[in-house]
Amino acid sequence: MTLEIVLMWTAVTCYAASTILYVVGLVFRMPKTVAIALWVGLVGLTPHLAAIGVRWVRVGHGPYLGFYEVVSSYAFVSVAVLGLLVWRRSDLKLLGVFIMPVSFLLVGAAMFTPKAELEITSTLASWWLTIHVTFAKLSYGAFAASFAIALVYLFRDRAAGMLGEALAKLPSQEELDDLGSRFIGIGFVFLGIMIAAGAIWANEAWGRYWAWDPIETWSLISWIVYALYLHSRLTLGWRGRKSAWFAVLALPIVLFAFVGVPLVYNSIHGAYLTGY
Amino acid sequence: MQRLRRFLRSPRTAMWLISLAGVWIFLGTFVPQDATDLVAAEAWRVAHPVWAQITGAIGLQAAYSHPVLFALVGLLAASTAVCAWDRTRRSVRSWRHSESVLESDVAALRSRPHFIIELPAHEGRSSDVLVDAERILRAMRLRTRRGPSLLLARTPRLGLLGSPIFHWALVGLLLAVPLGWLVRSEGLLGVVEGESVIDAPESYGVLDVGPLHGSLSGLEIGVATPVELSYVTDGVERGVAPVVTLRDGDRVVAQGRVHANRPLRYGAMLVHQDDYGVGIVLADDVGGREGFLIDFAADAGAVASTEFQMSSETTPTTVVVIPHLETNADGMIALYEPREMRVTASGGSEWSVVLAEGDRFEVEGTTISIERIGYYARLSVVDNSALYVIYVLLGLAIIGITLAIAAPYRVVHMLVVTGENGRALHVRVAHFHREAAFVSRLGDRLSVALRATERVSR
Repeated sequence: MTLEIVLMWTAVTCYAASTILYVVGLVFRMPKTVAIALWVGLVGLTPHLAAIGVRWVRVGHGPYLGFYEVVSSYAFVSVAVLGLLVWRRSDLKLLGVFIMPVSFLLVGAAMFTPKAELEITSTLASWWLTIHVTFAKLSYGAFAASFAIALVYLFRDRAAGMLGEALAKLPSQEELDDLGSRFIGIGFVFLGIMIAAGAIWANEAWGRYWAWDPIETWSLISWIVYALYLHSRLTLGWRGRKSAWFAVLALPIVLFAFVGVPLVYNSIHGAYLTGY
Repeated sequence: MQRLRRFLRSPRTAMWLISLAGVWIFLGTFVPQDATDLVAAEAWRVAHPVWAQITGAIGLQAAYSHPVLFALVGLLAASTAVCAWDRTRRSVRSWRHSESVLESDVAALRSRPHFIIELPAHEGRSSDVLVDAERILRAMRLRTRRGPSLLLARTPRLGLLGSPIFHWALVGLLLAVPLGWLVRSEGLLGVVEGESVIDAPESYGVLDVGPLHGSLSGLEIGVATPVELSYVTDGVERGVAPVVTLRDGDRVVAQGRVHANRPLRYGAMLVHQDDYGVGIVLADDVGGREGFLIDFAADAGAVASTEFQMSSETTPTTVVVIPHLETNADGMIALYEPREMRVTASGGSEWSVVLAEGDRFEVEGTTISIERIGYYARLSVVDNSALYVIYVLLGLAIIGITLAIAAPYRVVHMLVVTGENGRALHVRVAHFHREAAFVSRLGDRLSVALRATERVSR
């Protein structure tokens, strides 16, 4: 447990330092500092992954159960997606100014929650759990990326001074617009797979593939929201600011479905987050 | 009819229908649903009488089985079907013409190109220009076919199938899910270990049969002795895990240990373990035999009991049996060993006695023997012939949307046009995702590769 906590705090420190460096780099027009901010954030992934691995080995399951594991893993996915984006397009490293603070806050919040080691129950002991959770995290990662891209798109025009100069180095608005929608497309597929896997699993576990449980319902609402986004782009030709606002407003719905619903509703799915 | 079709095929109609269905589902999350948790729904109605009147008037507490939702889903299915039909026709047309350039394409290239690249005067022959353009397109992972002055490039045709497959699968799902509830049966029945019951309505404590389901299977559902209370496999405590057998006459058609995530399957029938309790089998001296199911009380189970009436001509006697229970090391409520129970008679006869399996007692002149004091397994039996259809449709929908998103179909037509001001490369792009950045990227690369003097976007 101690090793895991030390590793986690190391990751938290890296994410915090990355956040500060991003802000400093932008405010004082220091491109090298921004580059360092990215690398510090990505370095944080190593202790974070190690902490997840250590815990995985100790408790015998992946980061599926309890607020601490679930939220921490979402923070990991966010930073990993940033790394992936920068690996493909190095000019996107400025997206970290939005992603790193969110990741820092997520993992920081996780550190102050109980770290109870919940056991896999008979209902959860299924291969479908891995598929279901993996696609939940992948979809979140894709939507988080689209969220950050949409924020850049929306505020680049209005950002004056240092921030404006820094954001001007990003790909064109047209490219950002397309890139954001591509992430939403991928997230939409992953979310669909997550819902389908969950339905098949529910049928195996309970004999019902759909019971309008709050988490099921909110996952469907999230999927519908992104379906509307894609429909508006592909059939109504929505582009630019409209689409970007859509992407920004949609992410909180997904986050609520994944993390908020078990805290608000009495749900049979709640055990994965609250442990009871 | 034309107006209806126009209404259904309109993208705005689809947007409105998806939005309205989403809003209705969203509103349903604000109040406890009768179908999900009736107790919570009743408590909410008592606590919020004013809101309860409003939600009751619009049926929001049964939001997910409400005609409003069914109507929206029905309209959405119709709109999606019309849209899927249009997309299929468009895809078939594109597939057929994917290897050729039509005269109309050439005309469009001349008169309505997406952009024109003015070529420098010293640039080589038309075919050389197209060779350079072809190289660019191949680097962008497009397949090309080149003529003397015309170039066709496209991505794999598989991408054309994505959208129609997804939309048809969606139509299927929008119909199959609600219709599936009509052909479905679901019920709970209890089987004492070592006994069996027939899959018929009278065996069920709770039974919900869809109007199109037909009769139940009539199979014999048996539970083997003993019922394992704490079954462990792969290092995971699975809880109660009875071995269930399905028989058709003397023939065993399915058999297996049943626990969470491991139902017993037979055709479209799924048998799940739901709960357990005490099962007692009593027999009288004239050949009568009956199993009694006792559910545990919420707290510790110590007061779990059952009672039955002995009818006589004089005074009816109530016999109450209370099994001796304990909570075992795994936290499961278990029968105390040796298995005994207190039998208490009141009414015509008044007495109380502790008896074990195999003992007899007499009530109102009838001798009753205790054949078994054991457990019973409460099984959930679901028969849903639409389930696998729904799975196939889900699979198709995922394949379709993955193809549509990951492998979008793109076609590029290029024509070298010689005019009064020299030569120019006319380019038209058809891409199902309407990616403006793809057109820009292509234009940029072509401009550099062809040392364009000017690029005009139309």
